[in-house]
Amino acid sequence: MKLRWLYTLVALALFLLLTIGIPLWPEFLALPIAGPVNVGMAVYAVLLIGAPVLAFVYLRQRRER
Amino acid sequence: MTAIVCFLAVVLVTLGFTAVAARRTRSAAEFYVAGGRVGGFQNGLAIAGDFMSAATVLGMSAIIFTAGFDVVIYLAAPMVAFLILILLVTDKLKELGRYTFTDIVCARLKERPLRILAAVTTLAFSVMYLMVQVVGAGALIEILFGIRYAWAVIIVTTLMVLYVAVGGMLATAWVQIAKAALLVVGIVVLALLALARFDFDFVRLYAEADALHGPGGYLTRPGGLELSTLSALSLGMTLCFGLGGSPHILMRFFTVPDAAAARLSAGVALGAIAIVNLAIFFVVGVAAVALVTDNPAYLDPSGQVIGGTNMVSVHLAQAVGGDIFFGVIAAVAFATILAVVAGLTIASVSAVSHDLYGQAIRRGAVTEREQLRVSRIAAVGLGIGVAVLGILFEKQNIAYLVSLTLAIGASTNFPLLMLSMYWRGFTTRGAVAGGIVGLVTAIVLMVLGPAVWVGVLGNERAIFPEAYPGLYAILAAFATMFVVSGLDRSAQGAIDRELFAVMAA
Repeated sequence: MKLRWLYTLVALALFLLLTIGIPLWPEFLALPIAGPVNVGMAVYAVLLIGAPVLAFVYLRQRRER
Repeated sequence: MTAIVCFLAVVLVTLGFTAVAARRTRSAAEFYVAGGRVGGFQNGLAIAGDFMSAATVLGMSAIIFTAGFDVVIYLAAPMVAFLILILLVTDKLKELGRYTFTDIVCARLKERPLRILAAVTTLAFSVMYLMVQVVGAGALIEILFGIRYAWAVIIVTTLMVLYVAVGGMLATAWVQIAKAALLVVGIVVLALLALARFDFDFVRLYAEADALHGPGGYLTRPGGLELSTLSALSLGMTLCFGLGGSPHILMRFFTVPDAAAARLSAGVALGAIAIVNLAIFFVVGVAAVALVTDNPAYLDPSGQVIGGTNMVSVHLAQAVGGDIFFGVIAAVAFATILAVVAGLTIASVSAVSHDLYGQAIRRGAVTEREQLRVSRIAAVGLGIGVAVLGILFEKQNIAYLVSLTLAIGASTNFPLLMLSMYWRGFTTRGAVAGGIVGLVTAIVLMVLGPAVWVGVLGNERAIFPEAYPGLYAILAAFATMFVVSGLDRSAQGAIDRELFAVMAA
């Protein structure tokens, strides 16, 4: 029960960082990491890959229970 | 010619699905939720198919083409929304519901007013969302067949009514499954072909695209959409909560046999959407900038992209894969749109025939035959209304129009669903008052805003200057629901609170 609210909050926090980061911290999000990839693109990639992973972790935990 | 043959082949195959499904659809349960017999994995693909509409396939590349990096808000929102659906909603939906999300809300609140409210919000949402899809499909057929946009819109809406009136949910589920698989493969192949044009050198791809994207370097830097903090927050919350309140997505969770299959569905959908969004953001949109921007083959005499910027990914398909691949991607985009409009139409006609006619007007005293007849009449009426709106909104960006539509779902269905499942103090009065306030606020602010007041009605300046009104409507809805429920001392309010305890047990 608590775990699903925690996962939700983590995903929402990352999403908010990206969303309000665009007007508030554009320079931070534009910091280059590797080649054309910057911090903003990396956060997006983490969210894109992390959300399905969290979902499947939760699904597995539900099945085990 | 090759493109047209590929395109027609996809349309004929999906019509074939409809014909077969029609023979298997006999009862109301089969019409609305495919008899609850679609498997979890297949249903996941169908949900992904329902979500990945014209806005995903055509609109996202268009935003990258014009505004660059800021598209991440549009692309990241569905990931969070689906996670919320999996973690907080799917179990309860399947445990308590039957045909629509209305059944969940009505499980503890007074049925009749809630059914009428939910049917109205579902209809408002679906008509707007359908209009968006029709705008995309109209432009697609216009460039493919060279026919006038208005005729293209009429053809699409006629096909939409055919799919639904004849085949019901089973047909739309099959079309969605086939289309989602085609879409994932099609977009990945498009990304690989585009990358091959740059010898799989990301740095070269981004350097060439960046040079053509215009001043500001917004292809990879934030700022292309010129969002204020409030606008960005409003857009993000609208997309995230709006998707969680989309009736056509919620309805899909009823087409599987149990809660485990419902959760698996959402997980598969999330995976499929992640693959497509990854390919569009990192490769397809960027390659479209690099290969379409200066290419005279895709520009009209005034230097604008033929068919508008919504068509850049289709032009990219021709640039990297020739006529055959162009036909395949155009067909996939069209199948995408047809499948989404079919799902939405099902959600709308079920709101009219099951909730408004069957429960609210006839108070349950209605035969299945009658209900199916009303569904089919509703599908035809809806088709006509959507065609008119599709013609009026021809020039708008479809991803932006989706954000306006989702404001309705985010400010009505989503708060109703979450509070009825998780807040003991929620009462019928609070739900009705909040739902009405959310719906009215979303629609009024949308009409007074730049998209309709200036873009459609031709006025010089918008009365409500904010382009993304969702946050205001969401806050208004939640605030009204909390205040009115908190102040509610009626006998019905006491029953509503009691029923929450029973439901939780």
